[in-house]
Amino acid sequence: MAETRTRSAALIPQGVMYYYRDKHIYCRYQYALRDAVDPALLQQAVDAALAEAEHFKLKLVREKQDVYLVPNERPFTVCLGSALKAMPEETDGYFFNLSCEGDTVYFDWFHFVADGRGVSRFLTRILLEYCNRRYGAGFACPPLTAAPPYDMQALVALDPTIGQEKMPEIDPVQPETGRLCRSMVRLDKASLVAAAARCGVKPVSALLGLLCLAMGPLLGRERVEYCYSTDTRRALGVPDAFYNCVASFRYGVQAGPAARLADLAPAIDADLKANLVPEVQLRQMAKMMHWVVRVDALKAPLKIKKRVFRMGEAMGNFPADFWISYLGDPLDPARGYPPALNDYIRDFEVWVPPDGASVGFEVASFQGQLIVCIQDKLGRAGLAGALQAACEREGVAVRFAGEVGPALPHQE
Amino acid sequence: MSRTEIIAQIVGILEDVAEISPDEVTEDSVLMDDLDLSSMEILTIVADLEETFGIRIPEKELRSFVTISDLADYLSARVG
Repeated sequence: MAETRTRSAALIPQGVMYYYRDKHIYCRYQYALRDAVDPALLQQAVDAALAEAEHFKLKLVREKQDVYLVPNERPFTVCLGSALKAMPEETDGYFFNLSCEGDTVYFDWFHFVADGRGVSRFLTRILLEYCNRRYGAGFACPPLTAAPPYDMQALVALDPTIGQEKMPEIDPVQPETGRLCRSMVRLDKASLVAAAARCGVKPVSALLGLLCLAMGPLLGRERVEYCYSTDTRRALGVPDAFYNCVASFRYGVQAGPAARLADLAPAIDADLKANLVPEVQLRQMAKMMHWVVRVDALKAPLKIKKRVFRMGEAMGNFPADFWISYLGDPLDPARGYPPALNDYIRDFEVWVPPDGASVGFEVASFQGQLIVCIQDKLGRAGLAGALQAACEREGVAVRFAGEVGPALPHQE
Repeated sequence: MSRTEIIAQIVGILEDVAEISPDEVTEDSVLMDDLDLSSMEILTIVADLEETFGIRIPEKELRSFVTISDLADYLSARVG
């Protein structure tokens, strides 16, 4: 019987690129709270947040020649434990999952539905609702606004390569294929900010420089290539978008054994700042989304579309030695959330597998630390130690550096 | 597989993907200029050829496929 309910237009164009990747990209945010989590109260908190966020209450419908989204009428159920589940196959059709064990809340989602910036507003709302029920915190919970989809045709019209059909000259990096491992480094934020000031650059540029200094010797070469994503919500005029809104860029530096942070950081900083200009972000996003739209329109089997999409990413020069995603404060205080929410949250981690790179660095800023969650396919140990050594050589204090263990199921 | 058979496969895929009549195609046809193929069409043809011949063509090779003959030479060296 044909699906007759209203289709949601918000997700397919923005998230469909995650269908053309070889693997589903499942992401995890985990929050360690002050006390053991009460699952029943967490369920109430999620129900209240979901009632305000229709974007997350959707399921996928697949037809022979079509894929679309409709409201998901099934109840969402909080799970006990810490297992990462396949989404939407094991989650009643939902593209996210919430579970708890001990004092920790695990929030997992399929990248198809949202990027980190988009999901953090929803997650912060769940935490506010939970703290109100668990502690009587009295946090305000106003309606969650959601931006409508942006105009895809208007965006792709900004693609500067329209009409240029020549195959570009590329310098692809071949990612390593070792077993995916997790490690973590916690940096003292104040000392990183001071190191950045010494170089006259943004703290995130200093961090990028430190990551390059750590990676160079491990890769056994001087040139290190990395990719990073920038949030384009403001440039697009959709600050309340839950869906994916990113422009990604690649850059490379010489990071041999003799290199120091002051040698690399200014160029890294200049590249980053140039790419944070809204017009540059929009042009890059237009280029990326134009490719997605063209692949989506192909009359070809999904297998061929996936391969064409991947070749297009390679032609865009995206495979790199590492990806970095800088989340900032996961509670997103710039959105006006109460600082007192920090009193109830002890720690935060973010785990996302690297996609098109040997290493993925996911970085959050929380309670005076930069928490660097690392997943790598290098096939050899030592990355956390290498980053620690690079930081200490540049006067950046390291609070923790160590292995965490193998990859989570469905992320390996 | 002979070079002639490989070219026949390429021509068949060209017809499927870009609706180009086999009569219009020669070994010297330039993919973009003579056959007016877009980069998207070339990548789709390459993906189809990979499926047909059970091989994976590295992305760095794509730029070297200028003519039908270039594609045929590459495939002949691997599956011929």
